[in-house]
Amino acid sequence: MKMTFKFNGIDCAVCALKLEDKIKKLENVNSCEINFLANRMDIDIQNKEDLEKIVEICEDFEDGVTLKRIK
Amino acid sequence: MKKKFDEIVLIASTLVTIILLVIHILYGNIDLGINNLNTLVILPISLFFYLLVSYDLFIESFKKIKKKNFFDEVTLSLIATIAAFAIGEYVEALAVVVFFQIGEKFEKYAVNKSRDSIKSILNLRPDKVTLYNDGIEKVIEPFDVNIDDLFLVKPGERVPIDGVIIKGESTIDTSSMTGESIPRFTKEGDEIISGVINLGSPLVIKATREFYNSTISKMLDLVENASSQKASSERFITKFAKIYTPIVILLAVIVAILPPLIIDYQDASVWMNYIRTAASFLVISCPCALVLSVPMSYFVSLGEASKLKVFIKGSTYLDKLASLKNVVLDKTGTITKGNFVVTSVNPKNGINNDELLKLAQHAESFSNHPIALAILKANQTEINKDQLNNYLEAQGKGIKVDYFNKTLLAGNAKLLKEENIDFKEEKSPFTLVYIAYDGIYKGYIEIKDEIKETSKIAISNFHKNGVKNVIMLTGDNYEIAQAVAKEAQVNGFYANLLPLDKTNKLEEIIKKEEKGYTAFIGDGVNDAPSLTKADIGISMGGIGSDITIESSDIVLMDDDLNKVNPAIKIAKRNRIAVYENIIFALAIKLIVMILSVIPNLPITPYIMWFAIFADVGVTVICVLNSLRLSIRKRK
Repeated sequence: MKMTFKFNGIDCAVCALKLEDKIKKLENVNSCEINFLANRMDIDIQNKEDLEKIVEICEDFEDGVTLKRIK
Repeated sequence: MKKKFDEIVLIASTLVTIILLVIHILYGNIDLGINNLNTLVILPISLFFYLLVSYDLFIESFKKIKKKNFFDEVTLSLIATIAAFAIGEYVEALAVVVFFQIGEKFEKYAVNKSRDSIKSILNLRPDKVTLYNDGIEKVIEPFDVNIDDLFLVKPGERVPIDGVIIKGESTIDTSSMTGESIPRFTKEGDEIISGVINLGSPLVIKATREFYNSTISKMLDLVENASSQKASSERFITKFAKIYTPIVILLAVIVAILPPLIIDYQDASVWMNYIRTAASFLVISCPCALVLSVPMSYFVSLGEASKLKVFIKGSTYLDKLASLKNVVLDKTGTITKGNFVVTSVNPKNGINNDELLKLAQHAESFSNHPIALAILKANQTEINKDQLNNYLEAQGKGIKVDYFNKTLLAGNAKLLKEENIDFKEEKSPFTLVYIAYDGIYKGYIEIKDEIKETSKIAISNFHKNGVKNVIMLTGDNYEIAQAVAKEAQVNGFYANLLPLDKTNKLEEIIKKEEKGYTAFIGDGVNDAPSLTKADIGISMGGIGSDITIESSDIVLMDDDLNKVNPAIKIAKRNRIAVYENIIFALAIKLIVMILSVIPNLPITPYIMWFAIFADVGVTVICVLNSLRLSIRKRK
C-alpha cells in the first residue's frame, strides 16, 4: 500500500535520514523515502493498520512534527 | 520575543568569542600571581556566554537522550565542549556552541532559499477544492474528493482535479501545462485537465480522477518524488552518513584513551593533548555538510529545469543527462511540426483532382493520423460513410476499405505493391499517399511537413553540449527522411521503420554505442515503448495523457526541442558542484583529523578551531556551492 505525506517540523537533513531509517526498520514496512527538501515522505506498507505506528514514531521523533496525507 | 533575544545573544556571543580569542592569544599566559588571565577573566566570561548560547542545546540533547538517541550531533557537540572546558580551552568551548548555532541558522536560511527555486512549481499544488454536490458549496482538501464528485472552479482559480465540465463555459489559460499561450475556449461536455486556470466564468466540473491521479499531481510527483530514482552520489551519501558518525565517535574514544595509556598514563599533559584530539573528532562527527549539500544541489537543479518547463523524473536522470552521448529522435512532431499540408494532387488514369481527393478522403475518414487529417482538411467533400465497409488500417502502410463494395486503397508504395496494383513509384522529398480503387491506380497526393525552426538550433547545440551522435528515426520513406535529415543536420537516419522497428533500432543503437547514455526524444503517446527502452526517455508536448508521464523520464512541457540543451547544461553544472562538495568536505575533514592526531604541531593548540571550520565552515561552503546553481548564467 503506497502513501505519500507532506510533513512539517523536521528541520535538519540528518534528522530526516534518521527518521527514515527508523521507519524502514519497522515490521511490515516495504519502503520509506523521505525527501527532506520537498517536505515529503513516500511509504509502502503492508496494511493500513501499520500507519498508526509510523505516525506515532514521526510525532514522537521531534516536537511539532505533523503529517498530512496527499496520496 | 524569544527569537529576537536569541539573535542578540548569538551576535553578542560571536563578538565576545572573537575578542576573547584575541586576548587569549596575546595575553593568555601572563602571570597574575596565583592565577593567570585565562582563569581569572576568560573562564568566567566564556562560561557565562556559553551557558547563554547552549541552554537550548542542553534541553534538546536531554530530550534526545530520553528517546535513546545518543549519537545526536547536538549531544556530541556538547560533550566536546565539556571536554574543552576540562582541558582549559574555554574560548574554544564557547566557539563550538556559537558556531553550531550560526551553522543551524544558516542551514535554515539555505533550505528556504533552495525551496524558492521550486516554489513556482509547488504553488501549482491546490490546497483546497470547492465541492459542489447538490449545489451546496463546501471547501475540502483535494485528497478527499472522490471520482464523480462535482466541484466548482471560480474565475481566477486553478482547476485542482481532472474532470469533465458539467455546467458553464469559459476560457482557460493552459500555459502552465502545455506552454500554449493563447487562452482556450471550453464548454459543457469538454474534458479539462488540472493545472489550467479558469479565466472567464464559474465552471462546475465532475471529477474523473482522484486528486493524486490527476495531471497536476503526477507532474509534481515528477519533480518532488524521485523516490527510487536517486542518483548514485545521493545513495553514497546516505550510506556514508550511516557509518561516518559511529566510526568517528569510536575513533574519538580510542584516541582519548589509548595513546595516554601507551605513552605515559601518569602525565596529565598527555591526557590533555589527546582529550583535545578526541574533542576535535566529536566536533567533526556530523556528516551535515554532505547530507544537506548534495541533495540540495539536485533539488535546486531539478527546480531550475522545471522553471524552463523541463520536468525531470528524479536526480538519477539529471546525472545521466550530464553524460548524454547519443540522441535518437523521432522525425514527425519532434523535428518537424507535425502539421501536414496537402501540396499537390496528381490524378492518374482518367480522373480529375476533385475525384482523386474524394476517394482519398473517403479512405481516410476514420483515421486520426496526421496525414489523414491533412487530406480531410484539403477541401470540403461530403463523406458518405454508409458506403464504407471492412475498414482496415495497416500500421505504417495505409488504409484498405471497401467503398461501394469495391476495394479502395490509400497508403504508401508498400501497400500498393502488396495489393499488386500496377503503378509507378514517384520520387519526392515529401510524403506521398497513393490511391487505388477497384484494382486500378488513381494517382497520388503529395503532403508536406515543415521542420520546426528550433530543431536546427537544438541539434547544433546538442553537439556543443557533448552529444556525439544525433540520429533520426522515421516511418517515412528514404527520400523524405533524407531531405529532413539534411536540412536538420542530423548525423544519421533510418527510414521506412514501422513503430516496432523504431524500438528495435533504438536498442541496436544503445548496444552499439556503449559509452555514455542514449536519449530518445519523441511524442509520449506513439513512442511510449521507445521512451521506456532508452536510458533517458524524453517526451515533448502531449501532457495530459497518462502514458506520457509514465513512460518518459523527462517531460518537455512545450514543443521546443531546444529546451533539452539548457537542461543538459544544468545537469553538467550540478554534477560538478556535487563532486566539488563531496571531495572538498571529505578532504577537509580527513586532513583536520590527521592534523589533530599528530602531537605538538605549531597549530596543535588551535586544533579545535580547525575542527569547527571542518564542521560548520565546510557545511556553509558546500551549501553555498549548491545554492549557486540557482543563479542562472546570463547569456
